[in-house]
Order: sequence, then structure tokens, then C-alpha cells
Amino acid sequence: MTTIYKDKKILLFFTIPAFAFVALFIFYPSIMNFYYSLFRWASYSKKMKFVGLSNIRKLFADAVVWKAFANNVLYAVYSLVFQVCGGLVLAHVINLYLSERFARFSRVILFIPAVVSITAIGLLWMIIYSPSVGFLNPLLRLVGLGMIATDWLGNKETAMRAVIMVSQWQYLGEMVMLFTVGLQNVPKEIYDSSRVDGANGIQTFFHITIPMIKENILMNVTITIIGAFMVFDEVYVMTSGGPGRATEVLATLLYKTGFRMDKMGYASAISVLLFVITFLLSIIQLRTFNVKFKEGKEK
Amino acid sequence: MKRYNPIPRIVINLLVFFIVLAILVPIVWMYFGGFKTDTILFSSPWAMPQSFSFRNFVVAWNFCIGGNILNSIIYTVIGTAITVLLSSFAAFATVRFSFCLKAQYFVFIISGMMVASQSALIPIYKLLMSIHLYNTRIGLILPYVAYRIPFSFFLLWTYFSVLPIDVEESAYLEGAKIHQIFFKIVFPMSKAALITAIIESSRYIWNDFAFALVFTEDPSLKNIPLGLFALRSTTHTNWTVLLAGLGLSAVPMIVVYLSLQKYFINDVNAGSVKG
Repeated sequence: MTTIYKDKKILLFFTIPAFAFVALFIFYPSIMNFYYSLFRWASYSKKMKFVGLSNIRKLFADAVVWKAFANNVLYAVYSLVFQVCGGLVLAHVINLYLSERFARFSRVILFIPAVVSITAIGLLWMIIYSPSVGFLNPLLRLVGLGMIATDWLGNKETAMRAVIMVSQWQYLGEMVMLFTVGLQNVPKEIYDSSRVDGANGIQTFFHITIPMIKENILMNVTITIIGAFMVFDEVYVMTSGGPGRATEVLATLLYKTGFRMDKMGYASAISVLLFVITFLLSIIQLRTFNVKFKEGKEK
Repeated sequence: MKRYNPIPRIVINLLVFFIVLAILVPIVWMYFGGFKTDTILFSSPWAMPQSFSFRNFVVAWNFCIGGNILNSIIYTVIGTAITVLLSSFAAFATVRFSFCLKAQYFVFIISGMMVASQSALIPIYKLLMSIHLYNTRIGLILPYVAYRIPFSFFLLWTYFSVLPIDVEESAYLEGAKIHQIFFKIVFPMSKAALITAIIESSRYIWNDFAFALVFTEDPSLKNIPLGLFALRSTTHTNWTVLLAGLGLSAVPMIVVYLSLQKYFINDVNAGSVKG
């Protein structure tokens, strides 16, 4: 360690502001959530009635909360299948079977939706799904799938999956990009020599790609699951949780409970639940980070 | 690569082509839709616009985007500047200085990445109320900065930790002050990492919906996503104006991305260059 950096004043000046921001707006609120969930209160009155753990108890007996939770789980499952598995296969084939030019072009195009705001993408798909002006139903009729055409977002049966598919469409390219980062580290010669040894394409995928970028895959799996529990914008913009409660997720439920119905205490309890789920998942993710970290050091 | 069997190659190329098409069609349809009139849109979703008039775009601009774009720019520029500056300070100190509880400090900042921002909506709202910053620009920027710091910090920390120290030492021996070393030597040397941090942070703030929805009330403080949402509720049946507004709102991000994608993709490649 060198000694040119030992001025205490500069050290404090460098470290305190970032610390203050994170402490005040990330950790203090997380702790306050637990505290606020112990009361019955509304945003525009000073009164806070202590109710202990009754909000939390109510939470576990509330069918709507479980419905929202189940929708988040559904979100995670679909995202793992389409974004992670789909993105991995796609990144793999783009890497191996496409010409350099077409590979570059397709990666660039695939990523475009990821830079547009979720709000704009959500509203765009709301129009695409619309039975009166959207192009999805006419397209389905064109290819002979007219019987499944429906009012996608207005139909309780299809609304949640329709919203989920928008996210898949938007983030597929981002996943491909993240996997491509990992695949850059795999020397092309390994693939070539496995061809010489007579491995077919599927074997190559399972025996080289997957083991070679294991950490990368794990990382993206956890990011995706966490993301699925954080979902808010796309649901709120497209359906606001409706029709009925068909597309309710934890974040929209807590927003509506708190800022529309003004049941702040109960909404805080939902926030606590959301916080605990994402925090636990993130710890797993950090572990993955550590694995990468150690491996990097050994190299 | 000639050793590959050509049949799967052709099939796979076609498949990728169709996926690329599926990504592109909705976006192209959105821009065409902006030029159509509602009657045409209702007649058939595939109908071509009769004339390329910017009428819908003008209406959308006047209704929401024109009034909100300045807010979006203010939030993004100021928020990102503060984020990247403070993160780089903290990351640099964590790499170069030795102080007690350094490991704990590092973990503390990084853990910020583990908290879902939506779960903090209520307590932050309450906090902003109590310090009288609810429904103000600065009150919205503060949480933006807080939630972008952990990732920027981590990114810059990874970069600084492999930066050779000799240049800094020789500058110090020649009498440079610490702040001069930092801004004149370290900053220029870390351009790639700083650009990545700037892009990531801007992307989040520019596209944010939830924070702006909860922490502001005045129409004059709305950002573009909130404006689009308002446009949706007021243009119940005026779909083409909404499409124009959506297309318009996406232009800056798409243009910035396409013009930077060379660096971006190179960046992806740069990640693979390990010592």
C-alpha cells in the first residue's frame, strides 16, 4: 500500500456523501418499513394507531396478496424459460452459426427495446393487443390461429400472460447481450476442436457453452428472478392490475393499497414482504458474485 | 467454420432472422402508426399511412412531451452527474486509501443493489414529506441518486482496483495535489468505466416511472413516462396520437444507443480482456 493517500479530510470528503445517500434513502427506508407496518395510518393525518403485527397477520390471510405473489412467481417462471433459456440458446447460436456481420446486426437490433422506457413499451403493446386497432389478432387470423384471438388484456384468462410476454419481448435482447459477454471468454478453438471430435451442435451447447459460462448463467438467473418480483411499471401502465385482480403483482398492490386507498400501514406490510423476498434472493446473487470474484482472482 | 453442416446453419439463420423481425415489427409499426389517421388505423392495422404528415407528432409534443422533456433532461443529467461523481469518489477512496471498516463500507454500499426500490416507496415518500422535499425536483433527484450509486460504485471499483498506481505517484512527486491527480489523471484514464456508469444511470433515470409517479404531484414536474401515461388517459380513442407520442419519446434513447453501440459492443468485448 502506498502512502500518498492518507489525507483524512479528503478521505471523509470522498466516502461520506455516497454513504449518506445509501444510508438515508435505501437502508433507513427499509428499516422504517418494518416500523410503519406496525401501525394503522393514513398519509394525510398525523394519527398513527399502533396495531402490532396485525397487518402482517392479515397479509398472510389475504387472498389478494397470495394472488399477487403467485403472479410474480408466474412472471419469474416465464422469464426463466423465455429470457434466460431462450436468450442463452439465442446467444449461443448467434455466436457460432451466424456470419460476423449478421451476428453484430442481430445483437444490435435485439437490444433496441431494452433502451426504450417500459412505460412506452407497455403502452405500445396495449395498442398491439387491442381488439379494435391492434395488429396481433389480424396477424393470428392470417396464419390460421384465429381461434385464439381475444381481447388479450381484457380477458382474465390471458391478461397476465399477455403482460408477461411484453417483458420477454423487451428484455430478450438484453439477456442475449449479457450471455454474449460470457461467451466472449470462451475461445473459439474449443468449439472447433469439439467439432473435429465429432460432437454435434446440441452436445456442443450442453458440454461446452453451459459449463464454460456457468457463473454467468447463475447470475442472470438470479437477476431475472429478482426482476420478476420487482415488476411494477409494465403492469401498472397496461392493466393497473386488472381486469379484477387478474394481473395484480406485489408492487402494484402495495402502490394501490398505500397511495390510492390510503391504507399506509397495510401497504407497508406488503412492502416488507417484497423487501424480504428480493433481499433473500439478492443474497443468493451476491454469493454468485463471490464465486466469480474468487475465480477471477485465481486466474 | 466451414466444417459445420450447412442445413442447420441455414435453418438457424432463418430462425434468428424471424426473431429479429419479431423485435423490429412492433417498433416499425409504432412509427408508421404515428403518421396514420385513426380512420385508417381502424380500417386495417396493416394499412399504409396516406401521407407522411407530422400532425400527430405535433399534437403529442404539445400535449405532453414538449412540457415534460425538460424535466426528464434535468432529472437525468443532474441525477447522473451526482451519481457518477459520488460513486467515483467513494470507489476511489475504497481502492486507494486504507481506513478502518473498509470492507464493511464496501459491503454496505454494494448491498444497496439488493433492495427493490418499489419496496421503499412509502418510507421515502414519508421522508420527503418530513423534510419538505415532496413534490419538488430535488426531492425526486435524491432517491434517483441513492438507488444508482451502488451499481456505479461497484463498476468503478472494479475498474480502479486494476489501475496501476505509478502514474499517480510520479504526479504526486512532481507536486500535484490529490484532487488534481484525481480529475486530471484518474478520470481520463477511466473513461470506459465512466461512460458505462453514465449510460446505465441515465437509462434508469430517463425511463423511471414509479418514483416520479409517487414523489411528484404537480403536472409541471412530470417526466416523459408520466406524460405518456397521462396522454393515454386523455386520448381514449385517439390511438394514432398516442402512437406518435410513444415513437417520439423513444427517439432520443434509440438514437443515443445506435450511435454509441460501437463502444457499447466494444465494451462487451472489453469485458473479456482479462490480465
